[in-house]
Amino acid sequence: MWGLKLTAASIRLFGRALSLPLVLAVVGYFFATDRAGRAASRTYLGRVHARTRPEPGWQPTLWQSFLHYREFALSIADRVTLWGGGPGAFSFRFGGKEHIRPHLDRGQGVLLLGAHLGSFDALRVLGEQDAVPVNVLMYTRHAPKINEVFRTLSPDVDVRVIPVEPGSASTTLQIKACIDRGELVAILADRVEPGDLGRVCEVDFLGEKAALPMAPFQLPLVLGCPAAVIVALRGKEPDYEVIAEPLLATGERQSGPARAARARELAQVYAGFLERQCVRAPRQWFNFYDVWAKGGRP
Amino acid sequence: MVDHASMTPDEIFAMLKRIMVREFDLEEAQILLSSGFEELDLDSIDAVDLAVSVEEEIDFQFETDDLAELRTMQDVVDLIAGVRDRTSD
Repeated sequence: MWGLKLTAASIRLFGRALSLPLVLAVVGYFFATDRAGRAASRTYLGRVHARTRPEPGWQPTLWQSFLHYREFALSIADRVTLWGGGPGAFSFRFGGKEHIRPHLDRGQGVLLLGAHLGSFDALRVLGEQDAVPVNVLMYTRHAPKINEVFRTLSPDVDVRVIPVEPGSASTTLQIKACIDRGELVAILADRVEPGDLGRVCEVDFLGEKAALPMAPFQLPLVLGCPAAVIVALRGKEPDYEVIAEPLLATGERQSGPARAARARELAQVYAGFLERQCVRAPRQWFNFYDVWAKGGRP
Repeated sequence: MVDHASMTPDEIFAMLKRIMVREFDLEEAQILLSSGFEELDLDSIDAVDLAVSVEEEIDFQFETDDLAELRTMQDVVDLIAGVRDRTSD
């Protein structure tokens, strides 16, 4: 959190351009000290490279891994700028709005499943542009501190964070209430957290089995609501491309073993989407841990 | 849609058992008033699944904090029957 607070303070005082060296220095510190993270970065870069230019024996260098961390630094700076300066600092191109907008026009809420790939905060823009509340699920151990930082940047913005309490049915009912009101609910579905209590599924991701939490893929089946997968990838210029694809085009209710089986299918669809986007923007994958390790926990 | 206020506790329990047999592959004989969710191998997602199914059958709305307080099938019956205090907001 200290890195985020320092970044936020610097960008507020000196602007984004002047703050970039500081942001890079902060991430450079983590690059230098996080041996496991560096190893995970190189493992991931090797796998995504194998998808695009298979060369036997190719291994990413430390420099390529540093560039991966650098991209993460730029995303943090963008994140703070988005919250502090508003979305006007960037341009947004939206592909796949047709998978979301028609539902909202009918008053039907939609579940958006994102990942630590590109910018999740850019989704806030989606809500502001379309005047639809965006509710974001966040684990409670993170939520209060992050809320505090972003409220400092944007006191007037309605930061609608739904704290996730592991194993709590109340969280799911809160999500249901948002969906019933015709709102968007955004979830990061790519990390297994302690609260997932061992309920995970295996998917094929970049050539190897990786674990994903079951809950995000069961949610639309329990609530009977449409769902989409979504990422916002940073372009060369300060612009973002938001890409959405349908996960569940129409509401579909499933229970019991059938729900579990269907959730696994949806998880694989999600993994396939992430894989395609990782190939397009390989350095914008921000899970600096071995997602293919048993259990796949950060 | 059935008005939950007109249902007796026995009717409510029969409805719950019917839903749970249909949706969770349970045997009716397994489901007792004293049965807890864990005992029936139901997690929090299953609990919400049950709540959504109940709302589809009768005019009862679960509130956000309701499920946190429910431990047994008796608790669920009491809540729907209106004999259990709801968690205040």
